[in-house]
Amino acid sequence: MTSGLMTIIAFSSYLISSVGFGTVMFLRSNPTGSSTAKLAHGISKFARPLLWLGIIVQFAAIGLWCVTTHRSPFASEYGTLSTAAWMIALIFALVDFRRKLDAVGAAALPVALILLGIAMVHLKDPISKSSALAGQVVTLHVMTILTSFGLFAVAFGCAVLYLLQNRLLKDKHVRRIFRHIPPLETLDTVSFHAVSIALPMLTIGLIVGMVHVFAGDVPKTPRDWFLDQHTIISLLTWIIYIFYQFTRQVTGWSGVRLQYVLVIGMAATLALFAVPTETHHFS
Amino acid sequence: MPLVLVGLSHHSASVEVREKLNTADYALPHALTSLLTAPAIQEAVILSTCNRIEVYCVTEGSDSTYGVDTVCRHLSLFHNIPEQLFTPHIFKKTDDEAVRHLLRVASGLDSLVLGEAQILGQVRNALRAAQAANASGSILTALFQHAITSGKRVQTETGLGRGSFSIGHAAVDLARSIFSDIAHARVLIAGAGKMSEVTVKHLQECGVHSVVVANRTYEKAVAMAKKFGGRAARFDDFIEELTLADIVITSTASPHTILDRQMLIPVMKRRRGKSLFLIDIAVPRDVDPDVDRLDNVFLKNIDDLQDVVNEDAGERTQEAARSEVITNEESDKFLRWFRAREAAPVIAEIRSHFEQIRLDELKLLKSQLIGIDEKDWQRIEAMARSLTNKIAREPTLRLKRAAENTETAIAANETYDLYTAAREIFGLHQQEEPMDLVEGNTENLANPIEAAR
Repeated sequence: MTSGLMTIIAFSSYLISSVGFGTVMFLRSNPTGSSTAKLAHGISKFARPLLWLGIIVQFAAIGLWCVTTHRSPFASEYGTLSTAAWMIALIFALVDFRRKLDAVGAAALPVALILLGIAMVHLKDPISKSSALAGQVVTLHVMTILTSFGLFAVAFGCAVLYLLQNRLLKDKHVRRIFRHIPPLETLDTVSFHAVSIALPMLTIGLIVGMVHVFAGDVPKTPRDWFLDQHTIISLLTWIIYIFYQFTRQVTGWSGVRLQYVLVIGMAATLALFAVPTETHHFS
Repeated sequence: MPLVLVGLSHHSASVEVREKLNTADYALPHALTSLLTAPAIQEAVILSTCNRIEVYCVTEGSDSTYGVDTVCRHLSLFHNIPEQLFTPHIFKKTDDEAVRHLLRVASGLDSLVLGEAQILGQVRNALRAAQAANASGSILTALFQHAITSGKRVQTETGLGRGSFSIGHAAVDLARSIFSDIAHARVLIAGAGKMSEVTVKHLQECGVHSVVVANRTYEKAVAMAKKFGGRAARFDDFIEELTLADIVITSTASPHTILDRQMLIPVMKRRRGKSLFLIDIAVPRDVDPDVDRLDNVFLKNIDDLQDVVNEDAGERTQEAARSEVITNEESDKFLRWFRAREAAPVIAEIRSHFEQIRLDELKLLKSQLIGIDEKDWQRIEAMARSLTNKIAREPTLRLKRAAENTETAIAANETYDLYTAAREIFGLHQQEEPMDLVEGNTENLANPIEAAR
């Protein structure tokens, strides 16, 4: 079985799992006898097992890719994006394992799906032979940043649900679905904890990257690196989450407005993978 | 051995009648013991709640009327009230009807508020009380356990028990969607209305322990705070208390609003975005609806809460039809077991009779086949066992089926003469040429060892 096929299996697992987590909300807020509710029940039962299946298969796919190419996964766009998606799925699965926040999966897993979808497009791209991508410093740089992205995705999932729940509760006519979304306070706490872990990791990742650039182990000058759009957006993302963390922790503010900061933060994170870059290219 | 139910409920009797016959938990053992002293009563369970008093009995003999009369007499004597006071309100059900009724009750289909789940616990408690008093035997224990299983099935497979049943319940549901753990939420009450008391009671049932009462009459606030184990506050401190509260219930008699957006803006600034749930159950309203536009403020008035209750009630009504199907399925299952157990002694006798024939014939044969090989003898034994099992199978099944369908047969006025019964029991009506078959079998029967091989 090729890593490409395995990635497709993982993608399908995440997709069904994501739909399953979404239908859990739908299922609980609809009449039990309807045929759609029965279908939703069927899908929702497999959401968690499929998520873990996807995580295992994708891990195997990344591993197989490394074995066959003799390169680190970060030597290609496919490998980096695939690892980012895997990290999001894994972190969500761990958070869900502890807090049973299935509804968050409906919002967080689509982020993993987007990244994995782009990764699959780049599956056949040439692999970078650059020595700059070898070594433990680069691995540390990429892994810490990707872990922080996974946590940001979970925080984003919580923020989306927070905004949805807030909207439902503000409505004059409260719809039944409100009962099946975690409480606002829980969502706020989980997203805060996720960012609290992610932000130091992102900071370490960025510092390690800077050290690597200044050490001269990379092509192009430090100036080129710092003026690159990828680096600028990375710093912008960092500032957004620093703002969130500062506001939440130092001023003690919480609530609906801070959730928008998390949504903007996720948009900036995804933009990192979309902007053209001269320094962070893989071929 | 008929099953008898005598009872009254919110459908048939007013609260004045129900309260006279209500049996408190502590009095149940005595009530059950006294009921069992009647010669006809073999088993008894009393289900006594604020909405119903139902006495389930298994009586001796086939006449259920005697059982009904005995229960009525017992109720009259035990509660010391004349029979004519409650007999116009009671309903009497026997066997099938009694079973179906209990299963509907346990599922919440017969409840005052359709689908309320409390009744399931009350059915369980009624059984426990009867078991503790040695009043419940094999039939009523099986019936009540089956009713509990059926009730649970309805709860899990349908949405009958879901949603809010009252305004207080709806308020708790909404609070649960805002706060992770409402047990740690601080509740502030403004005004001492009846509705706010009910809502606080609901919240306290969910573990809320921090209650502050603010009232224009401080003494009233103190009295109410005492009732809820909370703290009283002067009404002038209401705004200050808002900064600390999570859930605010307002039910003052004020003709104007006591809280508006301008008053709440500085409060929310001090709260630093912490959510505030305002429950305005006063008419006219205490809180200006404009405050709902503020971030992290959630305002619900009595109509909003009633909307939640109504929507859930509508949903439950839709689920009732599915619940009825489950209840009927479970009732049929129990009734099949109930009737089949009546056939059990006859079946046991028939099987024992065939078994005896087998043993006698084997004994006779063994005395004739001296020096037979052990393996051959085992084959003969196996053949004999198989033969008796096959012969007994059809009458056993037919007896069971007949027992299960007794009620249907009686309802259809079906009567059996002995020959018909024999043919029915042994399944002979499908055999057109029985003699040929017997003749065909004689060869094998003449040589049992060969037949066994």
